[in-house]
Amino acid sequence: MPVPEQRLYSPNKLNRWFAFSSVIMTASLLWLIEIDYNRPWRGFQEGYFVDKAALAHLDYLDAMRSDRQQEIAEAEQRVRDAEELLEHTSGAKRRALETELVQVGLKFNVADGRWSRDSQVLEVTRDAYEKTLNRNGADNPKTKAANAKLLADDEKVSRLLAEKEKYQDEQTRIKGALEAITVGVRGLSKVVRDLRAVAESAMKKDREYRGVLEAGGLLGDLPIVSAVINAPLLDFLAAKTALRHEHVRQLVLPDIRQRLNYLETYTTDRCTTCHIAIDDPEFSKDRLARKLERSLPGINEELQRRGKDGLELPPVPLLTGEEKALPPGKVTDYWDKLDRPQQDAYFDVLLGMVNDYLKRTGRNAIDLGQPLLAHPDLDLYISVDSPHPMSAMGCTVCHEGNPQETDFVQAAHSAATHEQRELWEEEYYTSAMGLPNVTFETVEHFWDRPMRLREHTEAACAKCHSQITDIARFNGERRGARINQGRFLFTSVGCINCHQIEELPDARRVGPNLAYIAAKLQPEFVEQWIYFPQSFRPSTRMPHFFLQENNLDATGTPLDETPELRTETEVAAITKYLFSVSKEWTPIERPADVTGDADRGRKLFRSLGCLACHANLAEFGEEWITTDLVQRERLEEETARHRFLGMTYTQRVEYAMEHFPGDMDTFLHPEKARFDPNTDDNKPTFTRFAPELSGIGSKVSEDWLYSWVMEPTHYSPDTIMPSLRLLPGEAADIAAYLVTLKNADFEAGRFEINDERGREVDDLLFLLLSSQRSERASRSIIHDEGGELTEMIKALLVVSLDVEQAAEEKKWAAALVAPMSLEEKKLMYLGNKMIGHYGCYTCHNIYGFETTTPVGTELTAWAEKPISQLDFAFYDHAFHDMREQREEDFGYVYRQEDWASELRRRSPTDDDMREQITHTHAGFAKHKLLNPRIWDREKIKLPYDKLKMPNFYFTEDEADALSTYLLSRIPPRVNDVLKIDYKGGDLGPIAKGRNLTREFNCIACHEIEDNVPTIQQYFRRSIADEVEFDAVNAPPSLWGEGAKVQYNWFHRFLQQVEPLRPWLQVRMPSFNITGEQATVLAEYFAALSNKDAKELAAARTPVRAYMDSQAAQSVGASRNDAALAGTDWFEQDSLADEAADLRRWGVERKLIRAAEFDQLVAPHANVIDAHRRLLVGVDFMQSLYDVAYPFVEPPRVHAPREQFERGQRFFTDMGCLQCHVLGDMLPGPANNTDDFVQIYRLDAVRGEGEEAVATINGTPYPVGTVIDGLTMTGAETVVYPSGDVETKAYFSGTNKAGEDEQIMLQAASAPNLSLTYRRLRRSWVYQWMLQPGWIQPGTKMPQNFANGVSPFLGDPSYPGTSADHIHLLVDYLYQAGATSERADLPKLVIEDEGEFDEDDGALDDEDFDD
Amino acid sequence: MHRGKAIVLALVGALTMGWGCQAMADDNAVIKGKIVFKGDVAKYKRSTIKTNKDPQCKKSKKKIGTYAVIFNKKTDPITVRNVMVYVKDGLGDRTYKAPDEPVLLTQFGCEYKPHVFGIMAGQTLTVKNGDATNHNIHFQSKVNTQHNFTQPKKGMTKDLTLLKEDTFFVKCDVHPWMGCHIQVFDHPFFAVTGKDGTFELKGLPAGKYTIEAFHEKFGKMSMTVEVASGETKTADFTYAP
Repeated sequence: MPVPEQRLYSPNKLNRWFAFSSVIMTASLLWLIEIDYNRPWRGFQEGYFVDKAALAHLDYLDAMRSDRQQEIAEAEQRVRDAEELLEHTSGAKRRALETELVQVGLKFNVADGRWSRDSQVLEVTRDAYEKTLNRNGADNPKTKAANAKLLADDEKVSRLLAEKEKYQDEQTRIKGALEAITVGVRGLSKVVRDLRAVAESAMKKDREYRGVLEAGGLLGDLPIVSAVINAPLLDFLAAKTALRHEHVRQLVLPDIRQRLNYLETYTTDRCTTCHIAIDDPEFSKDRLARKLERSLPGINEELQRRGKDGLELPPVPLLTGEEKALPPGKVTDYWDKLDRPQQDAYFDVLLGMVNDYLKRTGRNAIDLGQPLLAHPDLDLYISVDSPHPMSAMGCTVCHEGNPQETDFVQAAHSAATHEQRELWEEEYYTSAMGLPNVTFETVEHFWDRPMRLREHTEAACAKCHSQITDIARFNGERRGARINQGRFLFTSVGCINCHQIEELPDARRVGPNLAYIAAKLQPEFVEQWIYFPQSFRPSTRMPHFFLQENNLDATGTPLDETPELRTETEVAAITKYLFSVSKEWTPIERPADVTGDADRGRKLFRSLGCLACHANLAEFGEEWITTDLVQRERLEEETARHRFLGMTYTQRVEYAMEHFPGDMDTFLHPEKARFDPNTDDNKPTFTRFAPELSGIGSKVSEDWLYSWVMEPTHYSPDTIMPSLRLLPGEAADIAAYLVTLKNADFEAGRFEINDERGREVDDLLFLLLSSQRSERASRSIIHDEGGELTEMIKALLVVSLDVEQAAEEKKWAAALVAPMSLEEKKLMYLGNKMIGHYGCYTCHNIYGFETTTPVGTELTAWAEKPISQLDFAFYDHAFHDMREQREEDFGYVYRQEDWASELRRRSPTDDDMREQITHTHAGFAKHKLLNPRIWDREKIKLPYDKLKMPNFYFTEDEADALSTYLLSRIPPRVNDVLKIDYKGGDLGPIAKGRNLTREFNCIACHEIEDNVPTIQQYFRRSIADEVEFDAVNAPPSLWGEGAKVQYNWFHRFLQQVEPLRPWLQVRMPSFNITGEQATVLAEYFAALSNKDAKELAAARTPVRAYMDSQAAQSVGASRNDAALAGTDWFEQDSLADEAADLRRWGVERKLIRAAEFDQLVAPHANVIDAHRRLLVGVDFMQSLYDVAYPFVEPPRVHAPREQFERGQRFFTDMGCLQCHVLGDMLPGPANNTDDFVQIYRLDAVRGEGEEAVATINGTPYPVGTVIDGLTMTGAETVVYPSGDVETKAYFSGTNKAGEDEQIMLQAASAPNLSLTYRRLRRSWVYQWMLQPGWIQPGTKMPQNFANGVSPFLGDPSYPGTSADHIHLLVDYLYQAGATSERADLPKLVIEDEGEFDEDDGALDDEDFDD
Repeated sequence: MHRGKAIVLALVGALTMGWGCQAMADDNAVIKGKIVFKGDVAKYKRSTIKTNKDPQCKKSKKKIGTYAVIFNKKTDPITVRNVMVYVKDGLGDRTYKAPDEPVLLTQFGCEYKPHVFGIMAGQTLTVKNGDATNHNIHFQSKVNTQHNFTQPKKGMTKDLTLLKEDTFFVKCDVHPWMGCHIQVFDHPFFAVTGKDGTFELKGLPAGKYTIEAFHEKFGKMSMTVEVASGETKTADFTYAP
């Protein structure tokens, strides 16, 4: 068949097409390769290699510096000198020793051979003997012969062994002597080796990297390799570990799970592709700065060699606060003392200089910025030996984002501000890519979890640290403060009452009990309060439901035209309901003869410890605000005071909230609230833990206050307010004082139900009823035509499930409703519905709502919700465009001036905030928390469809903390191996205990961990007339409490407080605490002590090991050097972490002062001495705290009577009774044993002169009362300039001899020692005798055995060592306590005051006018 | 340029040294004065302290009074005792060696003697118990180590050294009325006013000084005084609370 000539295509044309398309395809292939090859991450990796190379080069220059070379040369010379000297001085001796060593070695070998041979023979002999013995019996002569041989052999082997060991010892001795001779030379040689090693490694590294560094490349050291291994299509050839190889780096993390719709799988993080130096400590900013600075002299030498001008050392920044210039070239030694901008500025200067050098020598400049910096917290994260190593955890477990992406935008980076975002948009998808690739909006839209902003990263902690409160500190810095604070706020301000979260245990209702509201408050007050709580107390934690942006008239909508009228009516209805169902309540009755005195009450208020939880601006406002104005605005003191006096109540509270740190700040910014009694410029903490009290008198009555302070649970069974075990008189005084504190700004007033509001009631009822009924039925109910409304109200009021109880309630309800008018009934019904709607009952106990479920959404897995389920209202993605286009609606996020003026209070403004609304969980939570009604903006809704979450007026810090906590509410998706195990070990008890100590606010009085108790700010530093607390009369610190007390006692004490330190004005309250909670606390303290002991051991063990090794090496050194051996431990690089830990601990626990370690301030010898003392203190405290839990007390000692009596004498001679009591006795001279048989214990004294009342053994006795034949004649409280307080009572009577006698009772000033045997651990008491000031810094207890030496050492009455004396004393205390012994001082009768002696003392004063 | 700086520095150094030597040769200026009180004397009446807590305190048969404010009413004008006057500023970089002889602090009759005193950093402080009772010596120091030890027997002594500048109160927790003020200086120019209410700071180099007076109740006052070599100047302070 002929081939057809005619074709359907033209080959020529086709060829052209083929050619054309192949060109296109080749071009697109090349284009593809080009795009694939030129990914931005390659640039970052290349930059990293250049940086690395430059740093290696700088090291090289540094190592080549002439002074370093000189140093090496000198060190080598020293070695030669030393060898020569050694040869000269002890060469002969050395050789002799060496010869001797060889000889002894030979002898040893011989002896060893003999011994090993004969010991084998011995084995054979023994075997033979055993066999003979078994076969023939013991009496057989063969056996006897074998036995004799065995004995002989045994003796021989022993002799040979002794000989062998003799030579062995000899060898050791000679080796030691040789070592002592050569030790110096060997030490010097090591120095040379080390110096050389540094230089050699720098040279080697510089060679390795050289090709990368030099611009143009090809001239360097084999840059071609670098080009090949990174070439497209060839790059697979290179090994992953090859230097300068650019490739996608990834971490495969089997324990970090990721959910891909229906599949849960492991995570692959590719973040390190760009953040390549994230785990490279060389790239942390401070180390970079150090390196750059250190390289300058080397650079200058190099430039000099090349005949170029040197670089000038950069200008030296000043230390903050001190006008002290830093030494040029050594600024980085003080890096931590510079603030961030100073650091950055200095860094830039250094970098500029180095780049100048690099460019001038034809090298590539370096960048050293993001993304090439190391993680700023390598000690805690990323690095191999940190608690969160990168290989196990990766990056996205905390930071979120899209783990597998290597593109900046698609990795879901989140901009912190709008400006940053615009910058990124410009950089990453407009200019860099050349085309609009992916926008941040689309990433937000499709990726559920964009990267977290820095302020919310802590949300991730909860994945493994599910308890959260176990996170506290690392390297002395507070960690996890935000999430901890969020968790605490969530429970303490009452979020938990509305929103359930599974992990949080049943929470108490945070609001006061309203079951008896009519007995406490006036309806006028309540209406105002509910409508606008801050109008009465700007610092209140009660949230605001009304006057918010979706219920102000200004924002009314067609479905809710007059929201203010509506809400006023609602408030009137709520009040009506609350007062109608309020139950009868009778305050605790006060005894008829007790009257309160406001002045005394004020003193009590200031001294009992009320201030730990309640701020009171009526007392301290003037001092605080005036001082603050002087310091902050540099006002004259008079002007400042004038300003203060001109302020209203509200302004004062607002000032305090704005300018003083709150409880939050003490956690988030400890430095802000750190209170140091030694300086003047401290800011007080304005606590909002409990209500601020300067207006309380305008709220409640004196009778109610009396009852409340006497026994808070009498009114509110759930309250956290503890009982202070007040005497009726004390309670009356405090009530009398508190009621004088008035808030003059507040005007109570009612929303009377007039015609307008009456119509509103009908409308609202209709709205509520008609949603489920027909219009006609609803109207009928509203007019109560068939009595339906009455019945419905009655039904609401029967809540009990118990039949009898329900019948009672029914009767009560009928009686309650019967006299009501229709208007009242309507109001009452509406009130009930409103309480249900707004959820008042979730925080307050309200009758009729006992079993109602909370109103809020459950938040257990809130952060897991798809973002599409969060309603951002009309704030769409292009929010910023919208702000411009619809300014009238969206031009602001917060505070609008023409809203009700009240709204302006405390709510943030757009100016304050980085008002960026992103469509993320964080964005939703934070803005909702700051303005709970924001997502109703421009929506038209029926009143009861509107958002109703109240406004807590959170600060930005608080909103961030709460958002962080909410963001952590997500299934963890990490495998169990990574999760903290709370079952065993200390962490579980510590986490639980921390919660409880915050809940009960123990931390406001006691130092428990690193907290600064609020009460300390009321300490008086100088000698003032009114001293309430000072450091020694403060609540005791609880450091090491777990190692101190016996578990059983502590557990009981927490539930039933017994006064241990009756002389303290401040009083340990009786908390409403369960046995379970007491257990938690007891375990917490035990775990804390254990943890401290372990941490101290971990830090001190290597230090001691180092010192021991140094001491061993210094054998043969001069005595002076031997004493100093190892004392330089704190300067060793290998012990730097340990030294830092120990110093921090020592300073925090007040063992030693920070300034003593400061090389800038203290001479070197003092710094050494400070470290020596620190170590001694740490050794002591470590042994003190190292007590296994649960503790076992050693058995009690029963000493013979004689020894017991000696102990008693020693106890008296030591003067213990001058402060302490033993038994139900008083210290001091007042007690009489024979004449007046009774033993009294003076607890307290109130009043003065004729009105004085002394409380003895718990009973009050006014002046003139007679007890046991003694007449009380007076009592007094003496406050000394030192701040000490003495309480005394005087009695007179006739003794057995018929003489008139006056005696004095005095309250104790130290604990009753009869408790010791069941309260304290015995070993603790022993150590307490040695170092009370270390165990409890600032204690009054003096050191009785300074340096462990007894003052009675050598006294014939007390034989034995100092330790024996201490044991004598401790044994006596334990035995005396257990056998209810008491110790008496000799009787003292009151005499007339003596006359002045005329001597030359400064105090014999002729002008004395007494 | 560096060389130029060095020369200037050397010159300055030489001058300073020369001036220093000069001053050392003539360290003989004197600042003296008195502490005057203007105000209501009756407001600061002293009262007796009841020492009946401890029988041993009574054995000295003497009354103990409050010590915060003690006037010399016989002087004209009325002067104040126990005021610490010292050079606060103006000595520059001069350093002074602490004297070898110790300062003695005695507890006698349940009082501290002296009640206000100064001591140089590094100088020995000997604390002695002159009573047959137990005292504890409790330093409320802010910078130096906070000692708190007992001396239960009569005649016990203990030597301490205070290393840094500091001002603090010392108390006895057994006898809470006892108290004294210690101020530690790094120079020897300090004095405490006594029965005549006067003070004298001797041996000062010529110069311009800030002199400060401290009283435990009335607080601090300061003034600037310039003295030439060998000159004696008067600086009177007046407390008028």
